[in-house]
Amino acid sequence: MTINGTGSLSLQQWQHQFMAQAQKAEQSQYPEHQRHYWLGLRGWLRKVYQQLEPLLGDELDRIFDGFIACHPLKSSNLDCFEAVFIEHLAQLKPKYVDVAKADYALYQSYYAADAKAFQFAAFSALSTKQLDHTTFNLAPWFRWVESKQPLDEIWHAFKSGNTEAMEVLLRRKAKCSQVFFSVRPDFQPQLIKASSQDIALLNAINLNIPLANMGDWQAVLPAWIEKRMVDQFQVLH
Amino acid sequence: MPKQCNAENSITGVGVSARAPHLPLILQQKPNIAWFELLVDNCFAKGGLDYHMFEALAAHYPVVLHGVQLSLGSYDGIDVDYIQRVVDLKKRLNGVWYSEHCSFSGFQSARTPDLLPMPYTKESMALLLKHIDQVQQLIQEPLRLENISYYHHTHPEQEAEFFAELVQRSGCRILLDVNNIFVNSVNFSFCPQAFVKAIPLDKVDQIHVAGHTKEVVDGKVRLIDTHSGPATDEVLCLLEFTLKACLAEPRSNLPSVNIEWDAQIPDWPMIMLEVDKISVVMDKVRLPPVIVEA
Repeated sequence: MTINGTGSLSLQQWQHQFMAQAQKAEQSQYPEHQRHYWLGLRGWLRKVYQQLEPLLGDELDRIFDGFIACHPLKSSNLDCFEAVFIEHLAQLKPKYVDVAKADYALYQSYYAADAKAFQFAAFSALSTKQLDHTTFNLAPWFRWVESKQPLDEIWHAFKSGNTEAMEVLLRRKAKCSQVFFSVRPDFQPQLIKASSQDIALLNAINLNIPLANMGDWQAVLPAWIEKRMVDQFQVLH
Repeated sequence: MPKQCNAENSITGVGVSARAPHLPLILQQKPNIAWFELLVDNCFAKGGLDYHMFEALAAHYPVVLHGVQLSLGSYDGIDVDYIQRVVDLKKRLNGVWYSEHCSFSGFQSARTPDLLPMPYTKESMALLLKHIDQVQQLIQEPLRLENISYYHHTHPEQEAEFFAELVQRSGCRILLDVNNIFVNSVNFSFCPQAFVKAIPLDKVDQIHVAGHTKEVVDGKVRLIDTHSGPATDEVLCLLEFTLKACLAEPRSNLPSVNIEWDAQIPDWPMIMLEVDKISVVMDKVRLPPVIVEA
């Protein structure tokens, strides 16, 4: 091999220099690689936070750039990078934070593992005593967001391309927080508003409360199983 | 169309990089494409629509796996968990082979969604040999190594020689990107045909073609490897040159050729037009020369 090397740079120095120039916010010696870095990260954020684009327009790129400047990419696992954006947005545009949270929940639901098939035969074979001690698991794609804004209606307006309606709905605030579920009964995630019974059941499942202690909340359980929001059960001993 | 690979578990003809917007149509209409290339980084989800569409695609067509996020040349080492996920994916989708780039995408705690060039030094060579060996031990077969496009380098003229030596010493095989060669040749003023001739062409299993864009910076033309359009005539000429040069080598068939289109993705019929264009080039190369009698 007749290679001449890189002048005085070691491999470490070479890689450090390229990365520093690519991640630079100001003028870079390697503008093409810098552009790939910034456009790549903007593209990822845009893919996650889809509802922000019609709401914020050109301003969104400036917000993304501000975030990227403060949060250089440290891992090929993007989960941390993408999730932290919500905290950044809260400093600049608090009005849009819950919409961003809904976007993130929908994004996570889309890529999550499938729900397992509920074992109806095994479930119906349980004795009354066993049923009393049964707890349930949420489907892997189940996510939820709390907000005073009507996130489900905003999302529907987004899906129908009605930006004006999104703006109007953003200004409407309930007196207290509501809970919205991000669910994926088929392959396309949906945002639905939870009823008080839904919320109670969600809390019960999260706290591993067995069926006997669920009270009236268990009334919505069959619907949850049908929609595959609950996909597994276990009997506590 | 039945799923078929040849006896050497290889693929031939023209393939297409499968992209999400086309998947529903491909799965519905089952167009006559010899094989598809799947980006492993898009297939790591544990479930959901994309996961099932990629599975359905692999059930019907031969697929090869291609990666962009391994960072094979990282000074800090390679991510073994990432390779293990590739191994699992290859098994699940019955992938014919796995390819990655001769590049790095991170150093210490910094990462970029880009492919950055390695310096062509002994230190680089040693590191890449070690990492390719690690990958090949895990995937239990030769890695297909791809040459990249880049925009800054102290010794671009040494790339072909470095790449050729790396392939020979590591036992890997080649995914030759002729668009990358062309882009670099214009940006760094070297002869693309000479680059191709310096490569061990008997080891080329796959060729990438793609579109690039042209910019003028300070009065100088600069090509950017955008994958945002059809392959240019110059790239098709270089493809033809490469295929002919491959045929001159002791090998039984032409390398397979793959179309990459990643930005401003057009409707599927436009991709089919590209497939036809590439097929014409491949047919032309395969034809025996016409002997004109006096």
